[in-house]
Amino acid sequence: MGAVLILTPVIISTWPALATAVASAAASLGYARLEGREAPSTERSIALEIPRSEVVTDQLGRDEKLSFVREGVQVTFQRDARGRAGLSVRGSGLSEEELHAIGEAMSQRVVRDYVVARVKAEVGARHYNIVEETEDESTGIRLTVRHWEH
Amino acid sequence: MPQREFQITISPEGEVEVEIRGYKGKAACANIAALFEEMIGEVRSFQNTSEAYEPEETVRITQQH
Repeated sequence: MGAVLILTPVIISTWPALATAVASAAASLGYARLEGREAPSTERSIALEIPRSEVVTDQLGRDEKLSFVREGVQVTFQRDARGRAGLSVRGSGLSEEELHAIGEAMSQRVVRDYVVARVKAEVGARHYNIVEETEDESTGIRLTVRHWEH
Repeated sequence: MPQREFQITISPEGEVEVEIRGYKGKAACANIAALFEEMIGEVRSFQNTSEAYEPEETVRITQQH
């Protein structure tokens, strides 16, 4: 071995790239895309920010948003006024703590899926080989990447 | 042609651990760590392992008589 490093992801992304990770995360957590449909009736909502995120966009992308629904809970992702990626969670019959926990789980899954996609794209661009990929709910995703230096 | 390997673990919370294998010498390890920093984000900890303290790899040219 040569070194071990631990990193905290920083998301600096265009809206389309982030939207891909959001859609992947939502699907893996059992959410369905909410498109042009009535939002479920709600009593409470909370807002969260995806930490260390910045959505790089032009004027056209500023009002982009993506909504998902699962069991009466609606999660909406949007770029906020400061350019950060944020999400709001709404659901009737749930406490603020429960809504917050749902939002945190979704936010973490988005970060995870964004990092996986970015790592795959970067190692692919360098013609490195992903020789193994495993996924475990408790330990996360593990990628083994190899290359041979000339 | 030396083989390089990276073991990348992305935790459910989104934290990333990268084990860098096959790079000898501190400079080589630091260079590849910088690549992952650019790719993923802020380095929270960095630890060289025994391989980093081995001499840098050199190209050996053998002269034939």
